[in-house]
Amino acid sequence: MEIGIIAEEYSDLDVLHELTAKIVDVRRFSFGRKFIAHGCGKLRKKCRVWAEILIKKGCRHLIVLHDLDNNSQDELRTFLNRSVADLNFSGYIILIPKHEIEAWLLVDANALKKVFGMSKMPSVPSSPELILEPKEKLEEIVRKYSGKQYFNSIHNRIIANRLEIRLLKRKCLSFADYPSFINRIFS
Amino acid sequence: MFIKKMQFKNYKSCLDTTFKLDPNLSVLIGPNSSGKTNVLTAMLLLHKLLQERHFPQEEADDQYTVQCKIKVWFDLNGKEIIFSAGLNTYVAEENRDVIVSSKQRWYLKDITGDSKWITVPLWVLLEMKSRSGLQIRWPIHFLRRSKKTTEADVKIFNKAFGPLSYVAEYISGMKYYSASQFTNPSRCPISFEIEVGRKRSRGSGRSPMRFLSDLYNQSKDKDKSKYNDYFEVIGPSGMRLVDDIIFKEITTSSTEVSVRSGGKIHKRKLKKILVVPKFKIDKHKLSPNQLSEGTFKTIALLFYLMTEIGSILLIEEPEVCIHHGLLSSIIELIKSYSRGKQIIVSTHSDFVLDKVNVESVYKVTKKANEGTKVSHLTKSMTKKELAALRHYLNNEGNLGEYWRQGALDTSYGNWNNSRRV
Ligand SMILES: Nc1ncnc2c1ncn2[C@@H]1O[C@H](COP(=O)(O)OP(=O)(O)OP(=O)(O)O)[C@@H](O)[C@H]1O
Ligand SMILES: [Mg+2]
Repeated sequence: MEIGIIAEEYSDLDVLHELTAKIVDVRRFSFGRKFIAHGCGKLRKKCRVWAEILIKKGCRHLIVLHDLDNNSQDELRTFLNRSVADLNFSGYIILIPKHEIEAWLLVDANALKKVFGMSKMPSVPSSPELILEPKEKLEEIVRKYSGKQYFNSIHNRIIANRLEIRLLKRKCLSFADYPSFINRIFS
Repeated sequence: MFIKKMQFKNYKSCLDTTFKLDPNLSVLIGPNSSGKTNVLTAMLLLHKLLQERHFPQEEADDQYTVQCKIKVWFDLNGKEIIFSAGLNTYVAEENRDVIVSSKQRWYLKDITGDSKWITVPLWVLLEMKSRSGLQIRWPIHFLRRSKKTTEADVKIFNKAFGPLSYVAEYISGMKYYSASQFTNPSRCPISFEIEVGRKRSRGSGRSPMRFLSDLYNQSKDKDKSKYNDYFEVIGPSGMRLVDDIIFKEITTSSTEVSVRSGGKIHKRKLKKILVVPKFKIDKHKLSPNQLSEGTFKTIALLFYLMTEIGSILLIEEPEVCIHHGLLSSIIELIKSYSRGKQIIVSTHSDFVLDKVNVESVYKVTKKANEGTKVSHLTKSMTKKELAALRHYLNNEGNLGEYWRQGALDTSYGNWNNSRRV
């Protein structure tokens, strides 16, 4: 099934693809129809236009992915909702990782251990959404426990591929609705 | 440690150029010929001063040399170390800078408490690292040889010895990557020979040949971790540039004959390995000269980025020959590295600008009578300009298009009088 995606970066798309493949068979969906904004202002500005184009291209479902960063949760959600709500999608979801998508990658110590070949189980925050700069936090953990350099554009996908979705659902409210959204589409 | 501020006088288009640098990432933008490359090559003069021996010389010998000045403010854990050098230089073939003589001085008040300039050339600092035992005595011997050096200078130097060797180490880790170094893979040899027991094969500078032998040597290193980390990034689990790198090795031997005076013949058996590198892509095994330009350039750039321990990296136009998807990963990589070392990038790409923090951007401009000027983008804006830019970035679009649309061109009232930024 073609799901239209609007995201800020390619690596966000990578993460979402890996996570989605944990919920539904990877052969049943494709993320080929997408718009990558390379910045948050651009995403806000273009969200509606891009969503319209995705409909024209035949997408019946839409995912909008935008890091919370320093924005206000309510304001951002309302804004993005308003941009796409009246368009003719069968279903859409607005995902706002708090504060960045890397928070989602901090949920599973075991996944990090495996991906980076750590000798010890790393200690990860119990509430990753409270971390203001999860990218930096992840970098710090990776350096501390493996001595390696973390690269978001390379490692995000690999970590997402390994992590336990159950932990993600429990620890990150910003992700909690996503599995049921995907299940609904494919039921 | 990082370089917080620099000043160049009378170096190429840098007639009188002073600017601050970001401890992490600084991105230079500006029109062709504004002096971005000159700023980077001026920084490389520091590296040259460290590597080559120059003795202070009072006067330049002829009209061919140009006198220029460099001043650098280093930050060592919040303490300032100032380096100042007067150089006599000329430009040789391939636009290479040659330093004929230099006078190099240090101001170390934050370290020693003395407000006095002392004369110590950078190469002396490097030398003392390689001469264990003599470490401290040797440069002092050098200092004493200079007639103007007093006992007080020697005392200051003694106190500052540790911090100065940090500075020397920092400069020796300076690396420069230009867009053209690795483009045109067809120039690349398809095999190379190395002598057993010798680390490096022939091949100079950053030629494609040198890259291949460096890559080979790294893959043979006892400590596999660096090579593995590198391959993880470029290989199938990372950027998917290549599926595998294979080195076929053929051992050959030959005899080297040399004749000594008196007719005595000296023979030496040489064992050599012919190395044939192959890059596996989509089931094809390709020689290096068959790789695409962007692939070749990226695997070379990332190799040096990831395996060399550099303290400060100067990267020219990383966007050349690179598809935006890959470029996006490369910029993210550069950003990650810049949290651990100082990186300076020059670029013409609005896409690169989209990916970096606006606080990292510096504008480079040039006017005939003033020469090259470097200014921090947001700090040189008025409050209103800055507010407008922030609004744009939060609600309307990205920095790159703001730039492309001409909106960053605010430094001059009439753009006809100056080139557009
Ligand atoms: N030896 C020199 N003496 C004086 N000026 C010089 C000298 N060499 C170069 N220049 C000046 O510097 C300019 C080139 O600057 P530079 O190569 O740094 O530009 P750039 O900003 O890197 O441009 P591009 O974007 O095209 O690479 C020349 O146009 C020339 O005016
Ligand atoms: Mg240039």
